[in-house]
Amino acid sequence: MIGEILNVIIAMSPIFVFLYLASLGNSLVEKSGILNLAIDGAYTLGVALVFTLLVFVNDPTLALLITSLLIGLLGVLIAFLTTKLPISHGAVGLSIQFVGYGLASFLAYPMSLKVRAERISLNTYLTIPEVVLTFLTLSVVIGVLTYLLIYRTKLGAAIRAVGENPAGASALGINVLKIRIVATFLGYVLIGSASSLYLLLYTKNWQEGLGMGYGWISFAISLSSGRHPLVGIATSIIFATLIRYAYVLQDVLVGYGISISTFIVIALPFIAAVFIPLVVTAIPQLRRRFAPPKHLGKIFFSEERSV
Amino acid sequence: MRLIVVKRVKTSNLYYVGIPVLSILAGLALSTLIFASIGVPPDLFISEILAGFQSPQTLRYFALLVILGVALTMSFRASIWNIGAEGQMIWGMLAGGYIALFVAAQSMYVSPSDLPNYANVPGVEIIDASPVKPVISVLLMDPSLGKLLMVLFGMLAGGLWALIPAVLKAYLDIDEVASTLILNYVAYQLFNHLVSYNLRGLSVQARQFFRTDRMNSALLFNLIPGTSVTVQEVLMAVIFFVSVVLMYRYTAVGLRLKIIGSNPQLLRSVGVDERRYILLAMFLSGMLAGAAGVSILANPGIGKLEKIANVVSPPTMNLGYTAILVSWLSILDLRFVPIYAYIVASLFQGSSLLQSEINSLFPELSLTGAALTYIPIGSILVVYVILRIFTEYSVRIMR
Repeated sequence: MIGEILNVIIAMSPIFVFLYLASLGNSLVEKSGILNLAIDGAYTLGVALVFTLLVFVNDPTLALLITSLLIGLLGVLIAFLTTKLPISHGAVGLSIQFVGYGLASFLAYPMSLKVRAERISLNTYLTIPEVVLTFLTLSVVIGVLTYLLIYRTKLGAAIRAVGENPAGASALGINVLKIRIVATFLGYVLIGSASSLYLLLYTKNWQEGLGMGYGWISFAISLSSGRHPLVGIATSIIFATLIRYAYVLQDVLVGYGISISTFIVIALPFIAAVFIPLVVTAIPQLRRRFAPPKHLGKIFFSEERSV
Repeated sequence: MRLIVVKRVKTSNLYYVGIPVLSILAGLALSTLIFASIGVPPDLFISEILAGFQSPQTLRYFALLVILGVALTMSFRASIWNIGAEGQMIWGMLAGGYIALFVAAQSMYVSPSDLPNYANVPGVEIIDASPVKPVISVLLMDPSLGKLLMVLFGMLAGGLWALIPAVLKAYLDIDEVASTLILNYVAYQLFNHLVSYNLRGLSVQARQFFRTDRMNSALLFNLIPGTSVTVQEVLMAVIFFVSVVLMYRYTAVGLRLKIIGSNPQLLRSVGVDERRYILLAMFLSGMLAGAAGVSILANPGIGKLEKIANVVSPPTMNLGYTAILVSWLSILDLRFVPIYAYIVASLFQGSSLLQSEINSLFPELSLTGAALTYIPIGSILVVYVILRIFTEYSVRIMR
């Protein structure tokens, strides 16, 4: 019995890890008031980057670290643009998403041809219980640390303050730009490592378009957990189960004479990503507790400003 | 020395024209640099992009981008960010395809010995002359009525699909950018499901192929000679453009659709339920996107639905995303939509010319269509979004 439960946990862990880390990153970014619509572009780019780096360095951990750092810097750029200038968060996010899609293909496609032509064997993480459980533990620890950071530290208070009321926070002497850069950098480092682990721990190889859409699933997880790091664990488990066991569901349903196609199975997490946030809005208590930061996605800009 | 950003008292008209043009130039320069970094000669890049402006193929993207540009501008003006035109086009294709393959005409097996009898029967077309299981398509109604039904049902399907995020937005306050985008992925997969099972063609023998039958050629739109654009596409672009412009100018509905973008409280204060106008804006927007989907399907170059092998290259050619560029560069002003639709269509065509040129000249560069379309589009958008602030703000240097 315990062995079976452990098997289920091991099977779901890689999916949980990449979903949860990216949703954590999204929560951190959005807590600081920046609407994170670049997430899917950053995610797809991260997947492509880690693959490209892996071909060069052939060390998964090093590739993961560099990718996380680079994606983190992308986050800094977003924080800078949306905070320092009167620019729509949505417009910047979407534009960067498209650049991310393009660069992903640009970087990784030639590499994928090279890997195939030269029969390079990629040194990804082994999906053995020790490795998988290490990452599972690590991601939960990072989740708890993020929770403590947001709700128990001075920096976290400042992050929440700039998300709720940047003008007020600024009047109290908080440097809004600095706080948002820190939050977005950390958030995007998490998104970068999630996208790396998506490849290193789950797909193990790259193909055109890999990762597209998974950023949005993580976005939806973060949204439906009210951007709360600990609640996100539960939501991520729901989505991980859906991704891992939808195929099992498919088999079970065939037993009852209902056949759903593989395409529906692929679509299920996306359908859930649209409709699970509804559960939150439908329940008034949750709706109040999970309300987004008041200034999320709003332009923070006074009439005049020196740059 | 410091830079000071000051809000303008009046928005600058000069910048309305200058900034989009500057963004296109700067975005292209940026993409030239990116591609030059791996060895695409800048002069090749520029000459292919310029060739896009004169290519007869550009007209097809132009017509589609006018339709989609109008569609998106309608929702954007209402402050509803419909990024789901891709999914709405997919549903337009599915509904149009259903009408074309099962209502306006029907495929059926005939015995191989009977096949020659069908060769010259009006309204009957042999779509697969396989010696074992030949398939014919029989027209069941007047082809022009069939085409009209295809367009109408395609529009209805696109509009209904757009209503899902609209209802979520209007009644549950769920951000429509994320939901429209995620629904695109759902639409792609449902498309694959329907094409592989429910709409799967009789002529598809091999188990690993998932596509519909070829449409009866009487139901295909009519090409304008020398181009790849169809008469019906152009007609739709003109009709939609004119009627939407007139709707904004002369009708109360048009006025309200404008006001929900700028001042929803005003609508509420005069007793109008603004949520219904959110639904309307999205429904109209989705309808036009659906029509664009039908005209992609009914182009004689396509004529069938095929399983999407990779979400990067859907049959919508990512035009639903490309049209965001058209709408933004036009600063949500319908009058500019045709101008920027033409420019963006040329860039789009230019990048596909570039791709085939690179594939033949430098096969070792291995650039994909996704890289060649998303990088220029994304770069122009990023530059534009940043420069856009100059329409409302001015930057001064203080010593």
